[in-house]
Amino acid sequence: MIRLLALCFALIALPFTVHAAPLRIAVVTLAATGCDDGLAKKMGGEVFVRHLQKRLNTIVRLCGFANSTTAMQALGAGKVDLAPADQASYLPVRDKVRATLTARSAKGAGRVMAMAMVTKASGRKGPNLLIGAKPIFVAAGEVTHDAPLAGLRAAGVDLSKLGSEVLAGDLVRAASDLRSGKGDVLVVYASHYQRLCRGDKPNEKPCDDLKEIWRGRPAVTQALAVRRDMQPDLRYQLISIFIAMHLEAPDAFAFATRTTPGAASFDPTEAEALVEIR
Amino acid sequence: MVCRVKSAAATFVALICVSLAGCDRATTGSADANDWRAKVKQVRMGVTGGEEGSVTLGTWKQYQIYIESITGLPTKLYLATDYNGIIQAMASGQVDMGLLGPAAYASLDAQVGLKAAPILIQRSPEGVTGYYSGILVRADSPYRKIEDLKGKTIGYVDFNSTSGYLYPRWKLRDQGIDPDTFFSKSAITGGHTQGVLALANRQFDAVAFVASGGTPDTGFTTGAYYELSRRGLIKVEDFRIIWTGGPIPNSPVAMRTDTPQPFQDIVRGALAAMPYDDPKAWVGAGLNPGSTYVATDRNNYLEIIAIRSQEIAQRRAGRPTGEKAK
Repeated sequence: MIRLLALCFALIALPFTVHAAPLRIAVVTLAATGCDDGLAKKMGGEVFVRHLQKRLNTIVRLCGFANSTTAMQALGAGKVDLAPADQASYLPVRDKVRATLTARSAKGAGRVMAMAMVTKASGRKGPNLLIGAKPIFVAAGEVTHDAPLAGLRAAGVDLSKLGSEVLAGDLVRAASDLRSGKGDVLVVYASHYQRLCRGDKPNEKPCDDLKEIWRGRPAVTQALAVRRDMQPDLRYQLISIFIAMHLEAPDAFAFATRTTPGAASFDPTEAEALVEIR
Repeated sequence: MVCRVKSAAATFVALICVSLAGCDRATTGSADANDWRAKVKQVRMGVTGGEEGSVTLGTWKQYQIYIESITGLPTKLYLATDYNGIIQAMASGQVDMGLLGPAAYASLDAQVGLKAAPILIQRSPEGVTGYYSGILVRADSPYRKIEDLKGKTIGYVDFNSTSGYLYPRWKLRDQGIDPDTFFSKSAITGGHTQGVLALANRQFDAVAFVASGGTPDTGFTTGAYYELSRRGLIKVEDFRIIWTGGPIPNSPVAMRTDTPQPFQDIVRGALAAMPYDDPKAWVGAGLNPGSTYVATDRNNYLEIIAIRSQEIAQRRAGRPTGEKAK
């Protein structure tokens, strides 16, 4: 009896890890074997698994799926905890899962936030009312033009129905072009917005005559998704581990980004980042 | 009969034991995910203005609310009047995390080594993770370039300030100007704000200051100089920037590494997710829309650590470095 009691206390005192449910990570592979302890070795992902196990203090298993659609279905059904998603595989299970991380390319500026502004007098109230509107950009280029346009597209704006573009050349002229009616909507990225609207004097509101009708980022084409009911602690732990993986465990990062060549790091995302038209 | 009782008791104990041992342990992920809360008990954040000047006490109060909501733990702010205050608080383990200037982190690193680490750094919307040091003069002065300041007076911010002391002195030396002999007199003003105000009050011919929210090409928008203007205490047009150096890696959020790993990860992950999960709170915390936090590490600050060591070596060799402002 005493021995049984001692065993009992020992069991209770065992670290939580021993009994924690494994973290199941879906990977797309020809060896679509489901959750398989040997899969990490077969795929060369042992360093990745070890890194996560050490940081999360729990068992991590890779689960093989033939494509991201079946992986996302498994995520939606609660059979895995983290899965790679693209826009098509995300939508059918959108109510149960969310995007949480995306690989950031070493080239390019990434998901630049932009804003669209109209004059208050124009009466335009949302990005869906921009049909025929002439957009004003400060300049051509990824940050000042391409990324803001991609963001507008993600917001549901049919770019083919926009009017002809105005490239102002500089920020002051761009704002002036909007106020003078040379264009209908000023589309600027976030740093230009801050420069234009922040003001340098007390109570100065340089954009008081303008109305912001949209702000956002371009959609992502690929992301790592989790279930919406995942415990927040675990989601934040995963975000922390993944965003620092390129620094803390480069070999694990190489495995995690094996399908996204040229990735420099992971960034967190908003839940609906995979939705092209929101 | 005795045997039967013993057996029944054993079965009962065994059942209780198994059920207790298995209790709540099927949760996916970290097994000690909740243990850390009992160890940490409260989150203690050391607070300074930071190098870029965009982070204020109001900002940290928003962080306080956010971190409390994430961790479920009481979160306390410890306000340090200068960089050294937060360095000492972190070094002694009185606070768990804080925003440090790069040189202040280098100082902390010299004291505690790997017991503290930079974990996050701000990235601008266009992907820039650095800021600049500048030298500011009054617009009504004749000084147009750094060479014009030979034999004049300069105010530095703080021995632990990167942009306001360490970096400009190192960069000037790199450009062939010895700051200890080039200026007739140098002094410590005690802060970025104090420095600009001292210049406005003609206590110095020039001051070193933080230039952020832009580049030398685009112009700058944040930092004490611009904040003072927005508060109506100075006018931007009354001053002129005649020298810039950089980029310097942005101020890191640093954490004690002897805190539980889940605590470190949850805080870092939650702060990194904030601009995506709750962009209004992010902007409400005084952070620029479109900016984000990205992971960083000690390697990002090796140059600053080396510059600081060099500066201290020179100080120990008896070179003058500045005295308290009168």
